Amino acid sequence: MTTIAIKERISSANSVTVQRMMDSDPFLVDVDLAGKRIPNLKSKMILHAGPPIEWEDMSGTLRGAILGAILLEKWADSIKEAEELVVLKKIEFDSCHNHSSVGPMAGVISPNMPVFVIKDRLSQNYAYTNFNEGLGKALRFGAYDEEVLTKLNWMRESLFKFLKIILQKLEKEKGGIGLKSIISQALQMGDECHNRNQAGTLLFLKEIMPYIFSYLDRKQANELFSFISSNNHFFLNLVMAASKCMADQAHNIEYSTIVTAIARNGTEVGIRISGLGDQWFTDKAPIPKGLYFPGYSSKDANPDIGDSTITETVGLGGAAMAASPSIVKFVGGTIKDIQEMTNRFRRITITQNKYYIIPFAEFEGTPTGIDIRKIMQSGLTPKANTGIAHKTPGIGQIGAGIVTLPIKPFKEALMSYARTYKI
Amino acid sequence: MIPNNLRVINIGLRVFYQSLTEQKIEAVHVNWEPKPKLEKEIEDILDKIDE
Repeated sequence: MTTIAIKERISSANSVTVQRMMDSDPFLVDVDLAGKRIPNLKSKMILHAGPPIEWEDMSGTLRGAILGAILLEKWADSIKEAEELVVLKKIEFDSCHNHSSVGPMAGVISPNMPVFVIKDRLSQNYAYTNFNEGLGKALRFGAYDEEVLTKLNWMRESLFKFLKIILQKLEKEKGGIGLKSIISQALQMGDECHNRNQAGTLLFLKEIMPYIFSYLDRKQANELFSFISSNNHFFLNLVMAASKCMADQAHNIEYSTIVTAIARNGTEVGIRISGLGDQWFTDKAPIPKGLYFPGYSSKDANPDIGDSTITETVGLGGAAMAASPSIVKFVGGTIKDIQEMTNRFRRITITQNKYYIIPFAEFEGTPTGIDIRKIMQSGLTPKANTGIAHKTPGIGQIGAGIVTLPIKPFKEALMSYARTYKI
Repeated sequence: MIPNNLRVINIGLRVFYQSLTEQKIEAVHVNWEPKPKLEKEIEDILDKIDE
């Protein structure tokens, strides 16, 4: 193929990629136990965030979350027993992404955890994510004490059942809850939909409110409402699963140079490219820069972790920072910084999103379709905003901030692309 | 040497622009950075596939 023909082929493939990414139409249709719904999730398997990793290489945060999940599953009665099971290789691990799933921070999903079931109306494909526990001491930050496990048990015994009742009715009457519509409204209300989900959570509550009143008793309604309304990050997991639908819909398009996954497992950060199949390109995960809770500093921080950068992959989070002036109080920086962060994405993406609009940027669409060619030409990599976990298992979240992705995965992806397409 | 009504166009590092505005000097910032120096192998690939 001539150079001109290759360039045209790439341009056409990339256009299709971003159109499919934007036109994906994810709906929340159900909740279920992970083991019943997530494809190929085995009975003694635990899924985690980021690219695949073995126990020996896992960070403290991820190890803590996995040990907590083993206790929650009642596969062991103590942390010592749980560690023995892992060392004896009685438990299998795999990346959430390999099972149509995503999870924030450690992203741990085990068979008896409840998950949201998201259906893409465009492709009829599904994506899955766990329920958000709230800030502070949480399994996703590697904490696993009695308080954490009690909350997770309540989420499985009560929250799951309440949501099941509501979503069955909603699915029957409206086909579920349209997530893209909520996300686009939330962006216009000051969320960037990664680290700020106040508006998204309220809009979600508004959708389910009539069903809470109609189908739950007073005690159940009070428990459900109190839990969701006290957790501003409740909607994050739904944004992530919606984003996973969008990214998967754009994946596996021949000749495409567009990024379709960015994820971190606490040791490595990895990316996937639409035209390069399920191969991960990785580098060491960086330590985020940000604001720490009193008593903590960057010395305590675990390297960057979580699947939540699936939001940046589809034009949210760091790409949509200019939509969210309030975020600077959570992750640090100035209003100028958030505008520059969105502008940085404009230099490495190929289009503006049709559906995700930023009012403060003259109603322009968010930068969408990260192109490895633009990254290598500019030397600029995506910046994401993120939570920061303590590196010691069992402690939890210690801050929030900004992380700049290393260039090595993009460089290796470009070289692999050249080999794959014989350029 | 430096006139009183100094007006500055700052190109590149934002920190110089910030320092000037903190001193109440009129300045505009141009967000520019030099193109990164690419390895030959990467440059050759980009020549064939870049827009």
